[in-house]
Amino acid sequence: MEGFVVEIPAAVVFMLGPIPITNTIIAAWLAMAVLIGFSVLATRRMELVPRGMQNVAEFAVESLLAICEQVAGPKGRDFLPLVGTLFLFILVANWMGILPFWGESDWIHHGVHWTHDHGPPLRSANSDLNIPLAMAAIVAVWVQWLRIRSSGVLGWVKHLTIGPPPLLELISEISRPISLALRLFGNIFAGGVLVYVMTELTKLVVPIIFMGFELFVGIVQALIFASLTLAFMSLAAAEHGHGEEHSRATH
Amino acid sequence: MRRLTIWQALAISSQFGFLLAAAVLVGFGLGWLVDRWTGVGALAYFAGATLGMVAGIYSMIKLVRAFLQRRG
Repeated sequence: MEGFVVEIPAAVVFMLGPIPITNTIIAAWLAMAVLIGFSVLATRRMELVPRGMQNVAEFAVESLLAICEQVAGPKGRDFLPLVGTLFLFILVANWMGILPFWGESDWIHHGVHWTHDHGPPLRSANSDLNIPLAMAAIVAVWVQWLRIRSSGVLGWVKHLTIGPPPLLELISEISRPISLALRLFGNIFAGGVLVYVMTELTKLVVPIIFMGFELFVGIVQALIFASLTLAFMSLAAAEHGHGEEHSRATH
Repeated sequence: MRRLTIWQALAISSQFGFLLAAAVLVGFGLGWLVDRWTGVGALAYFAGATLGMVAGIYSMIKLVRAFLQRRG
C-alpha cells in the first residue's frame, strides 16, 4: 500500500483558451449528455398510457412534484424545474462516479499514482468543490430574487441588515449556500477516496460493497440537496406571501 | 405542524454541522472586515464568531420550521 495519492483539485485535461477544462467538468458534461439523451428518448414518442422510458420519466417527474408540493404546498410546482434539475443532475453525476474511468474507482489504471500530469481520465463531478458551489450559487441567487420580488430592494437590504434580528439573516443567507456545497462535496469526495483506498487495500469483492454504498450515498445526497433547496425557496416564498399579506393589510 | 419524512430528517441533521460551521466562518469573516475598518482587534473576531454561532442556530430553526409548516 505504498503511496496513496489523493488530490483535492481536479486534474486539468486541456486548456480552452485561458479556461482550464478539468476531468470533473468533462464528467459534468457527460452527466448532462446522459440526461439530455434520456429526455429526448423518453419524450420522442409520447403516449397517453406511458411505456418504457416515458414511464420512468413520468415516475421521476411525478415523484419530484410530490416532494415539492409536500414541502412548499401548491407553490411547489413553480420550484419543480430548478429542484428537479438539480436532483437529477446530482444523482446522475454521483452514480456515474463509480463507473470505470471515473476517478479513484478506476481499476483499469490500478497501481498508477494519479498526479496532475497523469490524472484519472474522469472524476465524479461533485467531488470538485467548484461544481457544488456553482449549483449552490444558483440556488442562492434564486432565493434572493424571490425575496427581492416580495419586499423590493430596500426592504430586502433592510431585512438582511437591520432584521429583526439584526445581521443574523445576512450571515444565514451567506452561510446556507456554503454549507450546501460543502456537504455535497465532502460526502462525494470522501466516498470516492473510500472506494479508492478499499480498491488499493483489498483489490476484489470489498470495493464492490463500498461501490454499492456509494450508490446509496449518491441518491441520498441528491435528495438532501434538493430538499434543502426546496426548503430555502419555500422559506423565501412564504416570506413573499407574508409580504403580500402585510402590504394588503397596510393599504 | 406535520411529521418529517425520513429524507427531511436526514437533510436537517446532515446540514446542521455544516451550517453551524459555515455560519461561524462567515461571522468570523465579518469580524475580520470590521477589524480592518475600525481596528478594534480581537473583539471584532470574537463578536463575529459569536454572532455567526447564533446565526447558525437561528438558520437551523428556520429550516426546521420550513419543513414542519403545512402549506397550501
